[in-house]
Amino acid sequence: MTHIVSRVFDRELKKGSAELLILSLVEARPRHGYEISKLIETRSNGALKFNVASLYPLLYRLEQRGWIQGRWVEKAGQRRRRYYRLTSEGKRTLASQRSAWESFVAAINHITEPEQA
Amino acid sequence: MPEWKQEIRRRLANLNLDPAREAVIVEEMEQHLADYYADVLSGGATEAEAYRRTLAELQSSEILWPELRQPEPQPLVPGSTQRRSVIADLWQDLRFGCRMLMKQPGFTLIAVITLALGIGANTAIFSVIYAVLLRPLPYPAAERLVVLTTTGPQADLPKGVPYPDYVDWRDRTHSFDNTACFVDDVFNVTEVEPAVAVDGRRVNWNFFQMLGVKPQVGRLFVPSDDQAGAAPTATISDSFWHEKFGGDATVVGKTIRLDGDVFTVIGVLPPRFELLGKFDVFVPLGLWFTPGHHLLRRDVQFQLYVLARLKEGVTLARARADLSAVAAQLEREYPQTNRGRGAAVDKLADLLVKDVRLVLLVLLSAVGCVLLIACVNVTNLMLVRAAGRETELSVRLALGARRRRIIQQMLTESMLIAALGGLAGLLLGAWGIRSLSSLIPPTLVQLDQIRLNTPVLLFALGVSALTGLLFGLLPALRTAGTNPNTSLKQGGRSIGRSAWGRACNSLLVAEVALALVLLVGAGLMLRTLQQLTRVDPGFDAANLLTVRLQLSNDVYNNERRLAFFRECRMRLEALPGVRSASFVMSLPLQGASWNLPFIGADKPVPPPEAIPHAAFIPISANFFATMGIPLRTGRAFSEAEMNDTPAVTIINESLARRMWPGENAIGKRLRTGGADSHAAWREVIGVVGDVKLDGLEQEAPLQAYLPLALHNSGTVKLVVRTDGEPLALSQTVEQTIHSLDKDLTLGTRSMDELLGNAMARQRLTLTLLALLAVLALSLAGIGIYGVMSYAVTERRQELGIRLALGATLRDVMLLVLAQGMKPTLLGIGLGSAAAFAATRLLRGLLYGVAPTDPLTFAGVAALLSGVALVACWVPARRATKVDPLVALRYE
Repeated sequence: MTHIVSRVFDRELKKGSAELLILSLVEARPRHGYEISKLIETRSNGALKFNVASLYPLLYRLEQRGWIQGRWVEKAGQRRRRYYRLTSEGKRTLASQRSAWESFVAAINHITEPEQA
Repeated sequence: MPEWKQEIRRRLANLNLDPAREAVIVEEMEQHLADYYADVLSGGATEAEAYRRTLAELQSSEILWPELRQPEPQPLVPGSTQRRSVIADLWQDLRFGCRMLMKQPGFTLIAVITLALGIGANTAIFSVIYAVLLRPLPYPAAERLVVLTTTGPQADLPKGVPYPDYVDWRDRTHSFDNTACFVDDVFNVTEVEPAVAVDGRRVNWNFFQMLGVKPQVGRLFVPSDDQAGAAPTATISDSFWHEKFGGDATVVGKTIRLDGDVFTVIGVLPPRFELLGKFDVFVPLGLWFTPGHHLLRRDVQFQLYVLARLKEGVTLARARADLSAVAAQLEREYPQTNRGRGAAVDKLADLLVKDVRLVLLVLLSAVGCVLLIACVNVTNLMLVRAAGRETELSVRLALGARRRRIIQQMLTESMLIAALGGLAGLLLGAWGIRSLSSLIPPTLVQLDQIRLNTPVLLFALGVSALTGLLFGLLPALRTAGTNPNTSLKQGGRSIGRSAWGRACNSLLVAEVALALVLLVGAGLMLRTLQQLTRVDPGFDAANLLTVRLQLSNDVYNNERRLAFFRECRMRLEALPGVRSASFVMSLPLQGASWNLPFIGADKPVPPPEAIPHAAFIPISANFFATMGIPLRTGRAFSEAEMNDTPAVTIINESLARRMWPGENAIGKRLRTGGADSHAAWREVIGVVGDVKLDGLEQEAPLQAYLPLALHNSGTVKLVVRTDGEPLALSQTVEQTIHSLDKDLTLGTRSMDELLGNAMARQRLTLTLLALLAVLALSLAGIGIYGVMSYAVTERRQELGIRLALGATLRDVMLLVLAQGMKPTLLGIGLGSAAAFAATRLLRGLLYGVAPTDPLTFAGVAALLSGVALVACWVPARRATKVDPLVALRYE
């Protein structure tokens, strides 16, 4: 029972926070899908991992909403890759999601910190 | 390196993605997997291990997969691509539409024929309306041409203008650039074989100048031609020039003899010149004006037409005020003659179409109704067809077709049908125009002007486009509103009975209502004609021959004229098959008579505006016996009284009732003119029945008959009562007259024909309205039948279940009949209300029947119900033949 609850919670959390993660990663510069997934995995020390089946639908959803924009880029001697960059609309969304996330984390911390006797 | 694309495609398969979209996704994911596989390998894993781990990347998280369905946002490049796709879409729609229509030739044929009937009828009627009502008159600045007439306190006062009044109007008004007057006449043209009587006109010299007419040969009149004592000159029409002079250009300077006088031809008018009728010979009016001529008297109400051209910028209202002021001055200056005499100004164009405007407007409304019914029928067909195509359209919607595209597609199809219908309608219309031309009496319209021309073509095009939109829009919108989910699930017959059915039913109601309005119109005209044929004209029209004769004043003085009448009558009555013959100034129903004021000797003289008027008609001795006009009391004229000594008169019953109600009129005296008249007192020697003079639907006016001696100029009519078919004797009668004077010109017709002409307007309206009503009735019947047939197919299962559960055949039949008759009855109710309002338009054409005649309304409602019942009965019978087992297994 505990197992199922934690899996559902995990999934919802991931889904909610996944958008924030992707937007953050393309904030500094445009990145392609594989780069984004590797960054998520390495920076979370393997705790978070998106496989192909969940990453690309997410990217397309964000693109559909106009927060990121994908563009095929060809470099000499390489196959073409699709790079995603943050749009100005995406920037605003990222800012508000970031602050919402921070206050959420702060609230969780408040509750979960062991009480000082 | 393993092949990932196949694997990805397999997982995307059930999403039914757009191929282009799928290719992009596959490429991007495949790259990702290849990178991952390489990384895992370089991390030291075996190939099998790396393959297994890479494949795992495609697992799970199925909740996110639907995101892939979103199309990739396309960057918008302003300009070409968008428009090209619109044209490409249109082309694709057109080809697709053609294929769809060819796939269902039955549907296409019915729709096209239905529309062709509607559009054809409209085109034909519009061509008449254009020629008669809309086409500008063929004179420069024709909109400024007006006709001036007199008005009086009595509605039946003639509209002609006395010449002195005309001169005062011309000199004292400031609204007109130019004025001219003219009068119609008939000339005997002798010196040609045979002698002919031609319609001629006496005109002011500036008549043609005002109309802007230029001669094709020679010259037109100048002021010096237009005065008493001038050398007689004449201009002739193009057709007369060709008939009598063979189109010879040296005609100018030649002479023709008109009523015995020699006239020099000075010019030929351009082809097809006409104004208020066709005339062949024109002579200057001023030639008549010798001092003391009766035309120069102000108290003679002479039929002089006055034509004028408004100054630029002068409105009709201003001209009316101007002329009325002058008429008021004349009333003050000449109270004896001009008391109560006003003046009116009307556009020439309005005068020309006065008689037919109403008929045409009624017909236009009627053909409009027919077109609407045709549209409703085609809409119904389209709705039924669209319901059958629901599955196809749902699949297209589900595959991502946009609703706008579907609407566009459907509209393209309906426009295609409309275009085909328009084309066929144009052909029908061209044929209809020819049939119409043979139907319309030439006295009503100038027939050669009715033809297919640019405005008519444009009208047909516009009507076709409008109908296409009209019958295409509803089915298109309905289809696009389909919910693909429900309709796919239910196998495409989901909303047949609810939404489609409702739409079809309301269209049925509209159709029945429109048909009812038309049928009521036709019914009322039928009743009118029935009443008119029952009207007693006051005389016996059967076996009556009429001959128009022209006795020239130069050859026939009064004495010779009376002698001719006497001799002619004797010779005619001696012919076998002739019962009696008589002469009269003008025939009944042709509207011409002397309309004069009169007073009674034993009655106080009423004020001038209340003095009664009567039609005074000179006749020869046995006129009443020949015509079959009943003598009520007293006696007819004797042959001796033809010399008008002593002064006697015979009056009709209406006059007797009006002047001497309750008294015996015999022996009373009356005289023409007002209080100061110097006319002789005439003794009433007889009273006869009323005779219709101005048309069958008009009341018979007060009438007084005078001896023929008083009619001493112009034409005279001969009436001959025969034993058998009158026209069989026409040749013998003409020969007999010519044996007395071979130079006389004659026009022979039977009285029945004249009586028929008096009903021409009503008969034409009835014929056309009846034609249209039959068309509307058949269309409505077909429409009801179509919808009911479809409904029965739709309800097959339900009916099957009912039958299986024990419903009798009668129950099922009644169920279907009720379904069809409900909208029919509603339509009849609504249509009756609409017809109640619409038939008021007909009022001016009706006689002896009210626009709301209950008998007509009831009859039409019964007829329409009957047709609807038959149209429902056939599908209802089919419904009873449903085999419950088959119907149930069908699903």
